[in-house]
This record gives sequence, structure tokens and C-alpha cells, in this order.
Amino acid sequence: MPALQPHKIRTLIVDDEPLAREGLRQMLATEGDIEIVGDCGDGFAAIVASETRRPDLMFLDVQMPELDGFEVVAALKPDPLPVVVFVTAYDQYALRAFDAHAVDYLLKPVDPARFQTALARARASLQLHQLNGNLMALLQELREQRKPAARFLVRTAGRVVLVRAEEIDWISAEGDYVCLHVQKQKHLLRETLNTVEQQLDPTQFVRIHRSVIVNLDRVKELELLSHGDGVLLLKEGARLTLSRNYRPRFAALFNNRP
Amino acid sequence: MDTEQNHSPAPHQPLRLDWRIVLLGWTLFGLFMAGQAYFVSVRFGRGMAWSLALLSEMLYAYLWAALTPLVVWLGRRYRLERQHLAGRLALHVPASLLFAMLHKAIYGIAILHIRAQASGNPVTGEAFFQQVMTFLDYGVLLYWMIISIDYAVDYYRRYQEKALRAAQLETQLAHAQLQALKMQLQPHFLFNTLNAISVLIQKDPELARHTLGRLSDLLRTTLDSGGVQFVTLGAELAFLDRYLQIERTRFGDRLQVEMEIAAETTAALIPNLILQPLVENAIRHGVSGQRGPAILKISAQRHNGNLHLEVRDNGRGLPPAFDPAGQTGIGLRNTRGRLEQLYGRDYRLTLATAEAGGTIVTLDIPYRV
Repeated sequence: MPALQPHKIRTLIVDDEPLAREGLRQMLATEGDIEIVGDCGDGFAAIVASETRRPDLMFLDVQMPELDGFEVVAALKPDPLPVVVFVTAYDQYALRAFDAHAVDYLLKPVDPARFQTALARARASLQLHQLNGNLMALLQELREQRKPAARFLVRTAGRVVLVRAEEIDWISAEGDYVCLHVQKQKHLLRETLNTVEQQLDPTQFVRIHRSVIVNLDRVKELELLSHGDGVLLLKEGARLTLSRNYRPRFAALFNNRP
Repeated sequence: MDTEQNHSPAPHQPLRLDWRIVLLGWTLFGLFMAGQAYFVSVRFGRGMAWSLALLSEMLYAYLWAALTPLVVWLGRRYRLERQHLAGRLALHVPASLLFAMLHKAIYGIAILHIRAQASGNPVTGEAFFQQVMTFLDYGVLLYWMIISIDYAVDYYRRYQEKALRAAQLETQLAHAQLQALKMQLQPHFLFNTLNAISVLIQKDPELARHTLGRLSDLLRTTLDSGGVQFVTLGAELAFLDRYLQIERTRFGDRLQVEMEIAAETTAALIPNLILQPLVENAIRHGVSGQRGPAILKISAQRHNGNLHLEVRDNGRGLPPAFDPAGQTGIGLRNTRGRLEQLYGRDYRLTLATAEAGGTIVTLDIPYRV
């Protein structure tokens, strides 16, 4: 009689240490209403899994290589967000933030009684469909406090790629998207050129046109044209227009460089 | 990217001698001698004028003051050392006589002229000769006194430098211990390890007990190693092995460790806890920074009288802007400082990005057992 069967809570486990994942599995194994839909060893896999397996609940390690728990949550699509229980070994700053925003978390080693409390809370918030208002507030605070090194998460078919700012040759605006040019490869991001520009180091990335930002380290030659515009030749071969409106700022930056 | 420790001592060191001290010393000497001469002449009823006593004795003293840098230079250039004592004595004995005569000759000319002016009698060769020869042995004594004082000051300075260096070494060792302790007590390491153990208690009680044992060993070794500067490579590797066993338990297949240790090198002495921060760095930057299986290689070889150690990871390598000279990491700076204190110029610590990717840290130190 599958119709009478209550909907199970689809649960995703994310931790970079296999034993830690197993520990959570052990504790969840005896819970009849929990269905584990996957476990992930890193943040990238977690983002992909959250989209393909649509979990209701996520146990998420905070400290992971390359992409930490906060960055994972920031990259999740809010349709709707799963209930997130953070798991952390030690991070005083994060604990204060969790407390302030009443977001649930577990400390390692995970205490079974405390685990039950977290699970009960998760069940309650799932039943009430009262999701994660606090989580968004927490993310906002984290985003302001922890200025991460500029890097971008790019989604391609079934994959999430991390592009570091220093790898980018140049950036162009393309309709509703921004295109990151990385050595002949193009990565599309659903953002505006202005928001991307704000995340970049202004001494390395310079706006040279209404719709183009260039990485100064990649510039090989500058050719000045008679009517005030210029042409920048990049090391990897691209030719970009330096608009006369942006030329003074560009020149000022170069004068300051050794 | 490759750094080396380069120190070249200045080929021509200026004579390190404080002329103010020299002048002060000889002034005190001159005043004392003048006082003595005056006192003796009064006692024996010859009634020497105080001004004359002062003039002649100060002249005597300041002439020696002028000669002092030369004597000090000779003394330092041809040090009286046990291995060539005879040769050096053969130089210094005639030199002392020569300096005494030179001093008395200049002094004699000057003092005789002063006296001649006072008395009106002409200066005779005989008087000059007598003036040079009297108390010549006293001049020889002063020559040796200058050299003795210079040596004494030098010994004192060296003693102080040695004491200072010992204190610095002590501090650096304490710092290394603190770092090692921090690595184990690093909350992230400690709590994740405890979490792993708590999972293993149910899954694999044997491995849980084993891991708990390793963690305890690790803490104990660090707490017990107080004040030991050198340990054998074997002991240091055993310490590292416990740490790596725990990391392997935590990370499973994600961490592979390969050791290539030439059998003879395990008896070699290395500075206590010198490898630990290098391995910790490799794990932190090389291993944790990537998703695939991480490979850590530790090797030791004997090479041209040196012990050659290498820690290699397959991580992302050094950042492009990495400045190997201006090491920012406190751990690495401390490592360099300790090596410099212990080996002077006889060590080499390099960091480089491997062609195949990852970072290679190499350390060459004199091979000692």
C-alpha cells in the first residue's frame, strides 16, 4: 500500500572523511523515516547531488578541501533549499554565527543524544514547511565576514567547476550571462559584469570596455588608435578593444605598476 | 623556484676595536703612573714637579695608545694558538721587543727635547741610548699586556655569544615543540580524530583502540621531548608514522604515503621535530587542497657526506606569487632559523614546484651519527 506510506525524508550526507560519513550513516540507519539518497566526499559533488537527488535534509561538514560547507550552501538553488544541519570539528566563529541565527549544528565527535535533538528539529521544520529563513540570514553574515579569494563556481552538464580569478584571461558580458575566458575555454555564469567586477582584485582586473574586464597579467601589447580607442593584445591571442572612456583609468593603473 | 642559503663572510673585516676604550684605558694608566712617579719623587725628596710627571707619563701612555691598534692587529692576525704556538711565539717575542724599542725611541726623543728645553743642556746620543734602554722590559711587558687584554675581551665576547646562541636554540626548539603540540592539539585534527575513533568503536573496535593508542603516543612523545636538540632520523620517522597512521585512518584511500629511507640513514642525527612541520605543510597544502588521492613521498639518502631529505606531495604546488626568500609561514621561518643556528652555512632548504605538479621540499644537512 504505497499510498499510505508516509513520505520519507530524503537525506544527503556530506563530509570529506569517509569515517565521518559512515558515522552519520550508522546513526541514521535506525531511523525508519530517513532515506539516505547519497553521500558526498566534497563540496562539488554535494552541489551536483543536491540538484539531481533533491534531498530534504542535508548533513554538511563545514571544513572541506576546496569548497567548504558555507560555499556549498551559498551555491545551492533555492527551489526549495533543503534543511541543513552543519557538522563541524571546531570553528568558534561558525558556532557563534549558528547560535545567532538558530541554525542547527552538530559537533564532532557526534553525540548520539545531541544527534537525536537535531534530527527532531529537522523533522519539525520539514513538517511545518518553515524552511531556512535563518539559513539565508546566516549566509548573508558569512558572506560579509569571510571575504573569500575571488573564485567562481561554474555549472556545466552534471558538473560543477571551480574557476580561480588568477586563471581568468578576460571576462565579457553576454546578455544575461557573464563569460569567463580561461585559455580558449568559455564558462558562462548567470551574473552581471558589475557583480563579478566587485569580487575581483581591482589592481589585477580592469574594466576596459562597457562589457569587458581584462586580467592585466595577460596583456602583451597595447596599440593606441588615433581616435582615442586602443587595442589590447593578450598573450593567448585575443584582441580586445580598450574604449576611450576607460583609457584614463587603465593608463593610471599602469603608471603605478613597476 | 629555488632558494639557497647564501652567506659569505666579509673578506676584509675592519679591526674591531673601540678607540674610546683604548684611549680611556691608557689615560687611566697614564694618570696612575704620573701619580706614582710624583709620590715616589716626593717621598725620596727629589721634588719632581707634578706637571712634569703628568706630561712625561701621559706622553708615555698615549704613545702606547697610538701603537695599540697595531699590536692588537698583530695579536689577532697571528693568534697564539696551541697548534702553532712555537711559530707564533717566534714572531711575538721579537715583535714585543721591537715595539718596546720603537716606543722608547719616540718617547726618548720627545722627553729629552722637553727636558733640554727646560734645563738648557743639549741632547746627547748617549742620553738618548740610555733613555731607550732603561725600562725596556717594562715596554715588553706592556706589549704582552695589550695582547692579553684583547684576548680576554675576545674570550668573554665569544662566551657571551655562545650563551646567547644556546638560548636562541632553546627558544627555537621550544617553538618547534609548541608547533608540534599545536598540530596534535589543533582542534580540527584532534576532534576529527576523536570523531573517527568514535565511529570505529562500533565498526572496528580493534582499529579504534589502535588509533587511540597512536593519538596518545603522539601527545606523549611531544610532551616528553623537552630540551632534546637531536634525535635519530629513525626516531623522527617513528613519530611521523604515528601521525600519518592517524591521517590515513581519517582519510582512507585519499592519502597514500610512500617512504624511501636508505637503511643506513636511520641512525643519522637530525634536529628534533624538524620534519614534522614540513610533512604537516605537505598534508595541509598538498593533500587537503585537492580531491583526488593524495600522494605523500618522504625520502632520505646519504649523499656526499650530507643527509638528503625530501618531502613531496602531489597537490597544487606553490602559488605563482610565492616568494621563497620572504617566507611568510611562521613554521618555515622557525625551521630556517633553527637550521641556521645548528649548522651555520652547512645546510640547504629548498622549496620548489615539481614539473609533474605538487611541491618538493628538500633539506640537506651534514650527515652525523
